[in-house]
Amino acid sequence: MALLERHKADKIGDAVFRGVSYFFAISVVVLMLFIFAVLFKESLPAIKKFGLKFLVSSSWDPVRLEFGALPSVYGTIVSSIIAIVIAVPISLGIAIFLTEMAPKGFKGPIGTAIELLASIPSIIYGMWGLFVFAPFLSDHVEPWIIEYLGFIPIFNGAPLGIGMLPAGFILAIMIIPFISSVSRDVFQMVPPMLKESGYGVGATKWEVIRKVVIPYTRSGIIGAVILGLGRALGETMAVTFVIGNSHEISHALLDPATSISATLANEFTEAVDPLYLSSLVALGLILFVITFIVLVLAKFLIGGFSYKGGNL
Amino acid sequence: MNDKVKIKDLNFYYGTKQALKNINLSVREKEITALIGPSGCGKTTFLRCVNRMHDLYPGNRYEGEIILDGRNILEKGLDLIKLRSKVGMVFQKPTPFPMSIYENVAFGLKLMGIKKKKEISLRVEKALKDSALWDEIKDRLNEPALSLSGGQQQRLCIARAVAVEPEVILMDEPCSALDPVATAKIEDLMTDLKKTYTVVIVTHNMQQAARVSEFTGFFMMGEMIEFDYTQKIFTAPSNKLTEDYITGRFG
Amino acid sequence: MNFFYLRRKFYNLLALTVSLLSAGFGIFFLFWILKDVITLGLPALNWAFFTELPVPPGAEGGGLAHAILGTIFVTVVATVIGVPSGILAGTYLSEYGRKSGTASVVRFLSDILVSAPSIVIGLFVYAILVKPLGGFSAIAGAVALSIIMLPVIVRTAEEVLKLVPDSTREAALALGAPHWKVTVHVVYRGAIRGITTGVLLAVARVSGETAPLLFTSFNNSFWNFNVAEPTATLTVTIFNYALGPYEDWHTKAWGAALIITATVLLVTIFARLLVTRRSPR
Repeated sequence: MALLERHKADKIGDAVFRGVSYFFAISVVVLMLFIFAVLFKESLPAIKKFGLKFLVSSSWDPVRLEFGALPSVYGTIVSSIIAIVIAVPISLGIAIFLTEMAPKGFKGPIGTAIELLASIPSIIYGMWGLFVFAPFLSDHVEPWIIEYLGFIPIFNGAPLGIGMLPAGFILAIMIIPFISSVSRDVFQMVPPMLKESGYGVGATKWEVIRKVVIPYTRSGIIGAVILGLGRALGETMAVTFVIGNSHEISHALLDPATSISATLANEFTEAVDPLYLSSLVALGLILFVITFIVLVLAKFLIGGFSYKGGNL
Repeated sequence: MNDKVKIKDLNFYYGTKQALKNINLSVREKEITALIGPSGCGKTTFLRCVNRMHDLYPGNRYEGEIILDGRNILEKGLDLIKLRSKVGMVFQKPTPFPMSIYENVAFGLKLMGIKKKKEISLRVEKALKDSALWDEIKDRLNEPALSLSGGQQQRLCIARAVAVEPEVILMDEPCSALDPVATAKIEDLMTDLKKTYTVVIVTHNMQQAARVSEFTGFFMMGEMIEFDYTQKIFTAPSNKLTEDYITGRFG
Repeated sequence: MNFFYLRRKFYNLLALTVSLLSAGFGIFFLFWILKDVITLGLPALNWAFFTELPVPPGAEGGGLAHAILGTIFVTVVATVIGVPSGILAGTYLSEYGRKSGTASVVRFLSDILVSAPSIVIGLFVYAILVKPLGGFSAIAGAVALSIIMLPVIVRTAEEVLKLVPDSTREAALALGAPHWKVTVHVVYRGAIRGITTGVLLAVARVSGETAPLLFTSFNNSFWNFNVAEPTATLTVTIFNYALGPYEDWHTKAWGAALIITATVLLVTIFARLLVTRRSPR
């Protein structure tokens, strides 16, 4: 009977569809494990040759095939920290402006503009940093910094316009739209009644923001900041153009430096020796592990492991 | 008249929490059976046992028997797809699918494997006429179902359910989201439907139960307190709790 | 008391001013960048830019037609790979897995993969495709982009599929529809607009990626329609030209930057308009 056959077909259809969708869902997990495994396998020659010394050695000599990750790791971390230090107050300022201060007609357009800026490819930031911002820095800003703040060790050096500080700054500009749009969303989740009860007892706008809005949204803000940090750590293009590509670790932030992603972008296609390639992949593995840890941390802070949707 | 569905010692658990206790009742063929009771009493839970809707979620468990046409539908390995095309359901809120009015009604027909355009459109028309919607929408069959009013959407959902010609129609508070005029239309429709179908309706509204049903079951705290002819339940209930409920002393 | 009140007022004003200034500061930079991309990019654009191949290094003229086409080529192949797999995985999360342990793990790892460094994805694809196949190829670039796309699509697909109310699913099941038909004919249909938006945003995002393409699709000075050959893309061309020594290259890089920025912004705006324009309820 046709009806019976249809039921059979439906059952097979159900099983197949479920199986296929399950396969692709699991593929995300497999992919993640596979990335780790492949990077590890490709790093093995470097790991075998240098061992843990790879992490702490600061020599990077493609000619003598001596490789150490320290300058790149140092640059990745320091440039990201600079970026976060600059970006967080500005992003929170933008988020506060958008949720609490902007006149009604402004909120939408400015909010959208910020979100659009978050979608601009990072290579644009890097290129702009190299051609526009670096000359501007070396002509107008860095001479001034060296003259007046040069007595602080981190601020002496030559006004090149490229280096650790410019890289951190460009990174900051790149992650500002991202952190501010996430924090704005978080701020908007504060129940109006809560804020109104703040105003109800005579608090000023700033007091409501500081005593009600920020405490209420603390974990969300921290999550947004850490997600921004994750972006900054892994970012390649915004950094590569302006960091200067020097494997020397310098105490001065104006000096050229390098980061893991910049080293990879600059040297990978030129590396011929297997050990050189393997050392570069090992850098990539370190970057992957660092960002993985940071992102897991962010997920737990935002409470991402819980199921947020409704029940079926 | 025959019993269409017989429920014997039905227990139902959400995980470890027992939601239905020892339910026994018989649903008479081609009559309307109403289930009333305070909210959270288990009437909707009960209704969703009859087409095994609870099976969608893990951890739910049935005990006892629900006999439909001589077969226990709680037994393992039962084809749920077949069961559900035999036992239709109308939900609390209208649930139009995101497609045109016509396609909504034709949806179940296409599932049944009917391919002939002619036959589909005849049956769509019949279902829409049976659900008293045809005259209002016959010129706009290709508009999205979401453009209909709430009452029209609900009648569309009824049309969709009857189009596949089920034998039993379960209605879970079908009028709770509707205004009085739309409610009156649906109630008229129900009395028409019982000529062909066996209807079980869960309702919050005791007047509605009194108006449309032949039999009424009173649920409380997951148990069925009393089941009898509607007239008897509303005029001479034998249980004190039933009396208190229908006279409005709680609920 | 009065002093205390004034001090509060003062702090309020101060804090609000600082927030206003920092907002202005941030927005100023962002618009500065946009302004430069437009003013420096426009002069580079002419008919030849869109239709001709590059001339030998140092010479003036020519265009980046091959890179424009290459970006489209690689992005389309990436979309063909990434979108169906992402939608199916998202389907599993919203229709089957739901609260299960597997679904939580997949959700968690997708969220992490979304923010994973894209250059590392490039390394990974280099190791699994470029090295074994013996050379850079368009398909390797496309695979790298599809890996970046996958978690984005998975999560947005899940989110928009979950917006379809369960009562709608139940109503379809109550008609005797098998689960998969409910998903394909009812749930997908209800979520089509959201899915389209998610796909467009993901496409916009990957079309601006550079890092994962450096070691995969690499570069090419000529037309390429072969998935097994290296392919030029706008972003990698920007990278090479901007760091190169010639003035004409820099101009071309700005032109490419303008094209890619404008495309990404337009697609993003279009995708957003698609969600805000809701059907009547």
